[in-house]
Amino acid sequence: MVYSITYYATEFLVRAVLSLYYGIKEWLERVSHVEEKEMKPPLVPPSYVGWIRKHDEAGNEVLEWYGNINARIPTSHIDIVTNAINLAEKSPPTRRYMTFSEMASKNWFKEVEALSKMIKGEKKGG
Amino acid sequence: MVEVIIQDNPLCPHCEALRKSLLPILKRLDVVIDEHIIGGHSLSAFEEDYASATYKPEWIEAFGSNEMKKKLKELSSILNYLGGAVSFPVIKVRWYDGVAPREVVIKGFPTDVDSPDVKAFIKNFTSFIQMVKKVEEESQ
Repeated sequence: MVYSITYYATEFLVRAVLSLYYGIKEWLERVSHVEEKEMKPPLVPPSYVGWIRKHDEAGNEVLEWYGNINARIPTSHIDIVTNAINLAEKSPPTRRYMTFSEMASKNWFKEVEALSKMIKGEKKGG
Repeated sequence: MVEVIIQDNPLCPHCEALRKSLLPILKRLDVVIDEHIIGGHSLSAFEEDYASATYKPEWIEAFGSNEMKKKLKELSSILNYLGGAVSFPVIKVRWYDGVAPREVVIKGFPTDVDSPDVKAFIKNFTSFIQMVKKVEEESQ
């Protein structure tokens, strides 16, 4: 009886100490790896309902309704004054030039990110 | 719809290597492939390629970096020649991210298909196309 009580008590203590040790170790490792990312605000607020000025697949300016209805008006030949969110100016059509060696390098994605930061982009037809 | 436009020439060994290594992968990735034959005696012999415009002094003045602009005066004669020449192969990837069309132009390709550079290129290119397809799916 006495033997079993001491046995289980020591086992409990050892388990508690070890689990605490490994738990703290794991938590410290996880904390050191996690980095806070800079969150960019979305281009369109989630609750927005209304017109958005942007580019279509061919690169022409259009007004598109942001809501339950699918509506798109081509506006490249007319000048409409609205309170639309202007995404056409915020992110214009872009074309980026790369060489084979840049594309084949190990740090290719880093180079693309650096390019996108450096160059605002060549406007189509510009 | 992700489009891949390849500008090449049937007599060019670089273009042959590109077709040999890249076309099967593009077919497997299920993207729209468009092959333009330029240069030489082709019908579109006088058509410009997508990449040589970057050598033109006007382009460098408008979109080039500060380092490019500093050396513009020294190299203007060579740049004028390179800007007018037709170079191939050129790969253009085109997609629509929901706001505007985006394009990436890649110029040049080596002749040796089995080189480690080509393997790295294909690995990067495949992951790039998969990423672009995901972006386009999310925008719809």
